[in-house]
Amino acid sequence: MSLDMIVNWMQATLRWSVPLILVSTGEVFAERSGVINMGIEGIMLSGALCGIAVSFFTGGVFMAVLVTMALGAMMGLAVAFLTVSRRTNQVVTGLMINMLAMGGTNLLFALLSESRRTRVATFPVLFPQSMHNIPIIGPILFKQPISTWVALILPILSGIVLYKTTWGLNVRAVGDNPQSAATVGLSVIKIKYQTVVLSGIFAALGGCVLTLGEVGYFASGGMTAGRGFIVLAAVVVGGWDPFKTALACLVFGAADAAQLRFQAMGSVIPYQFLQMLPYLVTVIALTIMVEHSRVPKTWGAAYDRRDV
Amino acid sequence: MKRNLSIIFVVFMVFALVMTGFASKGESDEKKSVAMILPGLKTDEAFNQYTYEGMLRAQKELGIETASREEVTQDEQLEVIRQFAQQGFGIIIGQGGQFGEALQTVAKEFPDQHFVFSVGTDTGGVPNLTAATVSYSHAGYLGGIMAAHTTKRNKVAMITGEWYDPHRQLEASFKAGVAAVNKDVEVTSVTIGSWSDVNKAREASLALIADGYDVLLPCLDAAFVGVLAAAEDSDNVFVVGSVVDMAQVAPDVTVGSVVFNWEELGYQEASGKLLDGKTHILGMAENGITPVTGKLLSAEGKAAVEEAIEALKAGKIDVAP
Repeated sequence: MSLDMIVNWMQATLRWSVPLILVSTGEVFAERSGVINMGIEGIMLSGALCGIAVSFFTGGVFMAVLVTMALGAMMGLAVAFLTVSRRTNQVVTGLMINMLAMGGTNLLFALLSESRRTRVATFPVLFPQSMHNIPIIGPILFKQPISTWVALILPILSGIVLYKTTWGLNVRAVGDNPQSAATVGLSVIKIKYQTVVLSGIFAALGGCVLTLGEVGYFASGGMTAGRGFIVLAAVVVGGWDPFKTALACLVFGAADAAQLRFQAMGSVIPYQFLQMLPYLVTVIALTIMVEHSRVPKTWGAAYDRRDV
Repeated sequence: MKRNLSIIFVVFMVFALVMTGFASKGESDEKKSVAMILPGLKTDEAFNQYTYEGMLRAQKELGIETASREEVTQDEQLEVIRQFAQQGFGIIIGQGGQFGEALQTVAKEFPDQHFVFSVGTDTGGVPNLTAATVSYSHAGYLGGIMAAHTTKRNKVAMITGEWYDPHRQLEASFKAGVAAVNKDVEVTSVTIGSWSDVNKAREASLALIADGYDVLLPCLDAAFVGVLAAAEDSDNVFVVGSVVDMAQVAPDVTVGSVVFNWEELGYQEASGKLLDGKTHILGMAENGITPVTGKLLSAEGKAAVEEAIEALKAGKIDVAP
């Protein structure tokens, strides 16, 4: 195994993990406030198509990001309305959003048939060409699009917000004991709305990075292929901590990038086992981490202010 | 309460009317009515749409009556096929490898009507069930010829979603095609576990490219654009397309494609040419595969492809049908 191959594998790991890290950032906040936004898979898929469509029609990547964030916020708002205000089952609501997004994106993409044949503009690379050739860190870091840098800084930022700000404290209080939080005058409903909308925005953004990161194409039939569910698992593995969750996403990405390389090398291990590898790693990590992590006390439960 | 009940009753009746009405057929001759059952949307710009259009061509040319149902899921299969059979359709086509067992079951119940298992090869010995598909083997062989004439580093690879029988066939004949040109070319293959995951298709391609592979043959659904993106982002990496003409999307990296003629398959099935209870594999001679080559393929490569086409038509090449 040469150095080139390791560098290449690390590049692939980052490409794989960046969308997952973005989506997980929002999901950590939603789950910390007690709401499991299971609809992130569908919101991600919608964000992926929205990014492609806006970039295709306007040619502007920045515009695409803004519109995608607005779409994510709206879908997050829908999830919040259903699960927080109407107190619907969070799992069922999420699945409904996912099915809706699957059918909706297939339909809309069929209408956009011109964009199927066109590769749209993707995110720019921040650093100049000369820095790409610095050994090892050049190709791994400086050659990556701007979205990678956002994803690398984001877990640190969201850690600060969650643990060092009043709002972060409020979010954690609402997730652990909403009744007490309400007693001290916090608006539990409002905070839950805020976190769920946030999870929608980041899920859409993650989907947008999937298509606009480097690929520049969309494909019907659910191109997110279960990434939203992987994020849900990563949040649990990471113990609802932004930094550890990002780490879990990186491990998953590394495992998947590795298995594709094993397959390419013509390994004797059956391909089914290699395909399973990232999921196996996730399951093992889950089993080990569950011991050490602390679940938000009202995780997945509906909040009714009349309950005492 | 009563009013609610009557509303429900009316809604139910309207629903029932619509359900029976949308596929009802007249009193015409049984042989001349065809029903097609599709697993996906008939506007998907892929297999579903093109086989459906083949049936429409048969309708226009031969004046047959047609009906169809889109997005039929696994659990609805029996019900939908049976419904069409009860309505008396002469030919009922299940479009896709997943319809095999349901077609066998219903074909036994309605022995006087014909059933076609499309993109399948196994009729289970039911006399009124015919299987028909395009030749993945011929496609793979021609793809192998194109790939071997393109590679500079003598490493070519195939990328697919999952290994089903047709894909194994395509792989075997791809290897045979490559070997027919140059025995020193290495061939490998990678599965991505999905047919529509564009990012994973691109990752798999980049992994292969990093390992020195410079010609890629994707055999995927919508995810193939990921392979094209990877080739476009790398230097001197080319793609041999399968299923669709990939030069339409990425002309700068596509040397040629082996196009599956789904429209022709749908046409032949609907026209009633194939109803003998056997298995039909439409290869080069039957117009099941259309090879297209572009300016990126050398003259020598083009000549080799032409030669292979003639040999396949004449049945002179030892690959599965």
